[in-house]
Amino acid sequence: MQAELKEKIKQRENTYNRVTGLLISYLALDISSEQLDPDTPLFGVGLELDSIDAIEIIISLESEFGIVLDDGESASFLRTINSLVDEVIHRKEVELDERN
Amino acid sequence: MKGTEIGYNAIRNSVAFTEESDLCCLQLTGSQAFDVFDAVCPCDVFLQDGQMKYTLLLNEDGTPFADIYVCRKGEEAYLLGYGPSVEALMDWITEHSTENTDFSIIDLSKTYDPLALDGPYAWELCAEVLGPDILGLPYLGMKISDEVLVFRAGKTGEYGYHLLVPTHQKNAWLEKLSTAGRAFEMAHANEAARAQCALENFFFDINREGQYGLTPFELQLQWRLSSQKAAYPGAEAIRTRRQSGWTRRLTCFSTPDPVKVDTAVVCDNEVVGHILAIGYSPMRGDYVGKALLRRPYWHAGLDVFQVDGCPLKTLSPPAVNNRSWNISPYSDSFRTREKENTS
Repeated sequence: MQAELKEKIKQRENTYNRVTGLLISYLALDISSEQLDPDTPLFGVGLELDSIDAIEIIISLESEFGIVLDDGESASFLRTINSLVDEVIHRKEVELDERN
Repeated sequence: MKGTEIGYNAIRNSVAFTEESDLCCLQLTGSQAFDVFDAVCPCDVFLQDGQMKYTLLLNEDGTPFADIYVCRKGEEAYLLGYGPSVEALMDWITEHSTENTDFSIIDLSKTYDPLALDGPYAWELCAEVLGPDILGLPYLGMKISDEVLVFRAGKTGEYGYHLLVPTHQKNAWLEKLSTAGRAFEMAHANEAARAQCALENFFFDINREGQYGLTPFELQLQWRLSSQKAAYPGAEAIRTRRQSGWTRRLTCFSTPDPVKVDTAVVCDNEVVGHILAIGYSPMRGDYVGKALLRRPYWHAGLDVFQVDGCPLKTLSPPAVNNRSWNISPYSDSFRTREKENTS
């Protein structure tokens, strides 16, 4: 495997592990990270979260990753664990671009 | 436009109607009806009145036998399922419920016909034909309205309702839906249109990826299982797999070109998986599907693969932005949408 791909996968896994970790701790889920699949839905089915949990996730994203949602900004990334991971990675990339 | 695309567009933009010939509908009666659910389902079956739950029925080797919803309405237990025939499903439940004797299974297909409404404005059409109370029905909720059993669920990523209409009233209901549906540009959706929507939203299809001998771990369906329940058909296989781990996972992908199912997915000249399902997405303008990829290639967000010489990238489902996510029954209307579109 090429080093670049290896690094990309490593970054994805690290972010994924941090996101599942914060979901478990902030939402006090009685489940281990191995029992979560990346494309598990967050609301309705899957983790069966509710609107209070959504607020907890947004707070945890700010606290763990420094992600702040502006007023009126869509939270459409709150669909699956993977879509949360995508959002965190995307925001990190944007931040890096802006710094450069 | 072809029939499938018309149905697809209706599911994604307005409302689509389907006669669900593949949906098995059962009712369990008797004092042990819910004990039977508890005995056969791999999830914890704690159902409030009017609540549905998504789960599976498993073979002894841990592979899915049926893709089901279980539901409670008062003391009545309902099971809607995909996969086996009604007869096979009834036999399977009876065979795996030997410790429960006070129950009987009623095949609802003898007295009801299953219809489905899917689309961002399905709720509005439902309210027109069944009354405004339907607007209060939550996702995975069930109610009986005007002799129709209404289950709010679906596999398209849009608002969805399964309606079990009494067989003797079927034609009257079809006429009612057809008449009211004109104002919503309702169209008929065939199986292909519904399957494509399910694929884009990564819903499990027992007739597609369910045919590859995979367990809920590879299928990313652990959420359909209880993490603590010990006794149900397939429990031993699930326990063993959970302990040993798994090395392949179903992953959503997109590719610009059509490729065949079972084609190898390659990365750096190495086969890392296979295509299990693929279909053209009119909304995206490319092909989306599910591939079984091995660790560590099974992550979303990688654009390093080839399949039959075509580029393939993995992504996080849903592969489309579902219009229903931005539509509220309390503030939107199909008619308002029409005005917005023409202004």
